[in-house]
Amino acid sequence: MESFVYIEPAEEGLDSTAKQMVSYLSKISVDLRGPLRGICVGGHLEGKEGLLRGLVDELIVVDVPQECASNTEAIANVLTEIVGESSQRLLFLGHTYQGMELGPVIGWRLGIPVIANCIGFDWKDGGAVCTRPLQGGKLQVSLRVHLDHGAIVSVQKGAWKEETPQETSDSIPVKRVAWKDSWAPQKAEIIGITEETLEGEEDITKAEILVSVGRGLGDPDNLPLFRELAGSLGGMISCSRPVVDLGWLPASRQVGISGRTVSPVIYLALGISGQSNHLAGINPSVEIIAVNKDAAAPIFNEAKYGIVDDILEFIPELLDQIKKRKTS
Amino acid sequence: MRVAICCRGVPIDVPLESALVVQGDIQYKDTDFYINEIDAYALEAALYLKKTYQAETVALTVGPLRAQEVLYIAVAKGIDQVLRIDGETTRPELIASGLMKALREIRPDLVLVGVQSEDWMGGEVGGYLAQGLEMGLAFAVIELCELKENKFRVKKEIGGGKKAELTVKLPAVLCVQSGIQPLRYLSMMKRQKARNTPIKMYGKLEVEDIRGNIPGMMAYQAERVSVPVKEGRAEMITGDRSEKAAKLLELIKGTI
Repeated sequence: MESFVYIEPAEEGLDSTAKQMVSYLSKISVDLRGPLRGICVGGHLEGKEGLLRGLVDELIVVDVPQECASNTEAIANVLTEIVGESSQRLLFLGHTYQGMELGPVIGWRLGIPVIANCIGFDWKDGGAVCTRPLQGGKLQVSLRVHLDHGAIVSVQKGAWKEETPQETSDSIPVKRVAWKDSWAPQKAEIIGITEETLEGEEDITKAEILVSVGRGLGDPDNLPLFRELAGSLGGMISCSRPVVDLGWLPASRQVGISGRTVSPVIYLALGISGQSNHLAGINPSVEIIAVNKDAAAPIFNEAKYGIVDDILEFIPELLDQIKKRKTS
Repeated sequence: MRVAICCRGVPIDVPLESALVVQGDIQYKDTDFYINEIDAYALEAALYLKKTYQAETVALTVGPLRAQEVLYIAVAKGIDQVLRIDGETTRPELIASGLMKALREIRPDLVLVGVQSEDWMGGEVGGYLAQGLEMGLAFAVIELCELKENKFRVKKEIGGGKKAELTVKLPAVLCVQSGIQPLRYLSMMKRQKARNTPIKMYGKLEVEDIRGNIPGMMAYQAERVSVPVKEGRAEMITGDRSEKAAKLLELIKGTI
């Protein structure tokens, strides 16, 4: 067996999901996982290799022309060839947009199972048992995976804990792989990358308190209630994806995998079910207080405090009490 | 231009006892199927293509009889043709293989698929289709920009509030994200009328044949469905509404 972890480019240097994956895998016996190799396509870890010290046995750095660095088709070509050189291989990817696109493509090419959105991976009886969510996280399924030829596993952010690299003076062996023209994309071409601008909106990444609304908002006419709450608490309003899809709040207010990653002191999740795509945008140290009328909502598995109630009836009560406290 | 839309019928709020493991697969007992929400956005994207480029549209689903509801919605919205492949599975490689057989005959220029289904939450089907049909692929497409010289220019989300603009050669699979087009209201009358439409059947999902074609990909089985138990489950604040609000304010006051 050989294990590989694909390290996505990240502004913070080392992508947090990649760090969580190598942290978990580094503690698994070599007899089970085999050598553990990080794969970096491009130079985004240049000078930061030490962040992986003690966590991987080798770092493979693939040179890539600038125009292909963010082209998923090119990255899939690279990973298929490198990982495919081994006859029994495990490729771990983050369950991000890029990981979701890469996993099935590489798995189909190599003819090995793809286990997406994994939250647990235990070696057992020569194979593995993977746990993954179902039904928005209200249920989960255990899958028995045969590893005769390996598997592709995409791991949900936060499923495993990050470890601090070992204090060691050893450097990480780095294997440099030159770009091959055969990896060039044939079907897709990236024209450019843009970032959502704030356009006069507040920057939710700087808020100490976020009053975050989800589908439970029900109607955009209810928004003033939540804006008032945010104002009363000295916070800002943010939201989950459906609220943006419905055009009720701009994309700059969205928290999650496709929106912003936030680190307030308090994250008040109101009428938010707590799907993993949303939770991926909240730093793990944040204190989440959730209000949802569904007692089985997955958000209560992640929140520190929870209240089962209808937000449209609970928030007016909360605002009343805030007003009374301010006047008394 | 021909556009195929792959839709899925999904159960919502399934109790544990209704999610059954059957021969390593998951099937849902005594549940109605609704259109997977992101696939409803894919239908809207197809209708945009129909209006803008006079595209011929066909919607497909792999599912049992009760999943036919998603095709009635497609008809009611204005999709030209619909067809169902009979079979009940949650396994993405089986769904993709069933769709592929039909898509090879339909020969679409574009295949639209929602990025993921609400029940399985994996997002694999689009990638499998692109590989199996040797098509281009764009994942998490949020905007259809322009068709020019056999290439489609689209914008896709790449996370962290960023978007990539790219061109994809046709034929291509576009895994569309929610919000790509506004969801339009569908009247009950239109839905009822659509139920009179005969649904074309495209055979049965031949699981053993597919297993023979992609044995390595099927090297896993579902063993058990359960309710997640988290050590860190929230401390629940109880009492009447007034008490809960007071306790919440104390918590906020104590933290800030």
